[in-house]
Amino acid sequence: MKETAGTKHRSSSNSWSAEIMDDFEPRIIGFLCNWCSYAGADLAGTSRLKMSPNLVPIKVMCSSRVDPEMVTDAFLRGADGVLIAGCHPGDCHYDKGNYYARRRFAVLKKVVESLGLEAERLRLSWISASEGARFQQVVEEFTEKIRKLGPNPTGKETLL
Amino acid sequence: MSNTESRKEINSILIDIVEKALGSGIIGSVMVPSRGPENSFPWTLISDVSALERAEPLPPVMSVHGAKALASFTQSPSDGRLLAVMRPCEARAAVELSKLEQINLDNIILLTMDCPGAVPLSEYGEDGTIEPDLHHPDTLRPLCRQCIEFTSKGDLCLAIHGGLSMVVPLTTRGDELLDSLGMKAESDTSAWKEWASGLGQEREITRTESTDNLQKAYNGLQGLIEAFSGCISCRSCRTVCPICYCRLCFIDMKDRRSPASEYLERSRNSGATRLMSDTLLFHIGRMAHMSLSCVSCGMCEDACPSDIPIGRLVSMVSDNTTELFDYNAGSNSEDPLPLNTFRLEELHEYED
Repeated sequence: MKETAGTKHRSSSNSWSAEIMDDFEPRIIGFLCNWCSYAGADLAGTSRLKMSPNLVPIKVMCSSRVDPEMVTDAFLRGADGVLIAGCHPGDCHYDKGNYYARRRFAVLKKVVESLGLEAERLRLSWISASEGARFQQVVEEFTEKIRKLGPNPTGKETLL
Repeated sequence: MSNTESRKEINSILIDIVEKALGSGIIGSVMVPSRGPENSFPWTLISDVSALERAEPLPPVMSVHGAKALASFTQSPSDGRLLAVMRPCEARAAVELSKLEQINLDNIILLTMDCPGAVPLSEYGEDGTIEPDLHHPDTLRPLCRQCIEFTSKGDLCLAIHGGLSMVVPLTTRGDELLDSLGMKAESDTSAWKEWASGLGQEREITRTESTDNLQKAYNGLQGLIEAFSGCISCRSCRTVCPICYCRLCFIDMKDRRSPASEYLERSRNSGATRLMSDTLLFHIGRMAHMSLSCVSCGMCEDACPSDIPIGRLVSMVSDNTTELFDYNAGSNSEDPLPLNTFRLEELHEYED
């Protein structure tokens, strides 16, 4: 992880000059469900779809496995964005895990919003195993959005 | 000190009811705070009328949360009928804990009262003379000042405002108890309800002001760092919280412990890193886990040795999270916990 551009950028300087901002490469953590979204990412790869290398995938068995604490941890430790991706509603391998995941995600987003933190750095998307192109599109879109937002200020904080 | 009189009055009426219920055998035992040495008010489970001598159903302070005391022995159904005398916020937490399968309410009747609020533990002092006074909010804990759920909770509620001095049944279980005690009184409760809605409106204003001030003072990352900079990681907020029932909190899990190298990397990444680590993670994680069931009882804030407005912050967050599902913690035992259920079509604004 030390070699990623985001890290280099952080240790390079204390001031955000325009030059450095241009240099900013977002680091995004993606919790991908084993049955749909991870397979979708795989398909994007085997289909040789070109996309930004900014997403670090973490495979989870179901989107409902993602405890809000895991997302908060990533967020507070400087992840510029956190994506949770799972099967489309109705298609969950475990029948209804993604419906629970949606509620938990909404709660976490409300908590983050209420405290005045940047809730737009959190994203929930449904990506099926056959949607390699959609995976590519979600990664591209989210990376661009985060690039515009700039680095997560938590990455520079020492007193968290 | 009219309010001193009324707390005394509430206590004596409550003890009368309890005595009647226990003496006649309708109730097998009663859970109620009793006066201990040094102005302490521990919860007691009383099964003999003679032990009621020391009972203080409405103490001036909240030391242990009533729902926590109840959960300590009622996870499986109690074999005798039990009457628990508690404040409205304690009864609400008891309902939440029953949904969380920590309390079995099958054989339990909850008796509440018009709650005057409680004095902060730190201000109660050794002399124990301060009295909670509804009309003087500065005598009350910050969350009691902005409490809007100060009456009409549980199975029965002792109403002492609006010219009343009677027990109002709120559920069929409460109705049955009053019936068997021969205490069923037909009376006009409209003045009492008017009192409640009037005070409720006043409190809503206080609550809104308090939230505005909190948001001004502690908004965003810098605000949160400021709010929690004094946290000594004692976890007292979690320990006294009635809703935090987990035996092992996520923050204490072994697999969260990282090798020194990781802390060194954190330190290298941002120049320095706080130790004990993950203060904000603990508090935000806790809010994400329990804010839907938060009853705004203020135990966490009362227990905090660093004077962090933790109770008001959690309560503010809770207002927003419960709004998502139109949920009111502890008010209706029929409503399922929001995270234990779902609708097929909802929350699409959270999907991207």
